[in-house]
Amino acid sequence: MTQADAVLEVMKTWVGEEETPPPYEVEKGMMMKMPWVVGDPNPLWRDEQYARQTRYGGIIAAPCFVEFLRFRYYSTYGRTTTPVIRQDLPGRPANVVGGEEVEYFRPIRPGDVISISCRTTDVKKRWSKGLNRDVVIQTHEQVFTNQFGELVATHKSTHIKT
Amino acid sequence: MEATQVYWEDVEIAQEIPTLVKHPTKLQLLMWGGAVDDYNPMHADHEVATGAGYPAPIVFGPLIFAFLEQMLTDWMGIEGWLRKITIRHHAPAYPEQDVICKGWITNKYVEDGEHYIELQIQADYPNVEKGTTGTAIVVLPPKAQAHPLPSAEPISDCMWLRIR
Repeated sequence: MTQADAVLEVMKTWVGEEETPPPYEVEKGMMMKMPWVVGDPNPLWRDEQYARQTRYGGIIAAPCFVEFLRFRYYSTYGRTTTPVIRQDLPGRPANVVGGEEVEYFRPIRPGDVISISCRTTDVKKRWSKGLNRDVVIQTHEQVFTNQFGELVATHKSTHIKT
Repeated sequence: MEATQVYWEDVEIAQEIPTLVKHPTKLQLLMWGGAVDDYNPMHADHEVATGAGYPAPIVFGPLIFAFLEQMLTDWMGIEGWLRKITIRHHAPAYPEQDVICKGWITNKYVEDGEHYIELQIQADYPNVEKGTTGTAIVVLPPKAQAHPLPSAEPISDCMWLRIR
């Protein structure tokens, strides 16, 4: 049995199980920090005086803020439960993001409380030409809803366990 | 940053949107990891990265994703809405090298009263045939729904680090 086979055997047990990390109350500073890290100076993400004149009436989260939201599942900071993704896999493979898909439905504002639902939807083994070995590819989905029960965004990602 | 707006009528299929050149630095990788709580050593530790088969620590895929999103939001203006973006990484990018983000219009249509633009997007890195490729869907306002654009001068940019 190769390491990839052993990893696949463990990860198959994750498929379909829903995990719900604690809801996240959107902090204005964190909303502004994400585009700052990216180097995106768009004032809609940080300047209230400017944003007040737009149809949003105030600053909203930049699209990259969903990257912060989706890491609430992976992060152990501030959590009392450990996500299954933090379980040690056989051989402790490295993780690389293969691809992402995000759909945006509504703006995110300071003070919004975002509920998060996560699920592994698929795992499979593939040969990696670049790394010259088998790797395991996991597809993971997250759904974000606000305090009004409105769908805010969805995030799908593929992770390559090398 | 003077407020400008592109409208649905302004764009044509095959038109290219403005290219965005980013230069992820090792410092920026530390900042990203700290901001999202991603402490994957693949992006910081040389020994871990080479042990996994890479020549050096690699740029976070989601950071490349964020660069492409910035290219789109810079172009679409404050009245536009980024509805969907899908990307795939074909090769890793390494810090201290340019990431060149490009996009072009592939389709435009009206559906349920919304004016959609579809785009092909990509991020190119040095010495790699294919970096990151993908698609995006943006909603643009038609001219008939134009709103006055903000007149206030944005606050000083002095808070920003010198990250291109």
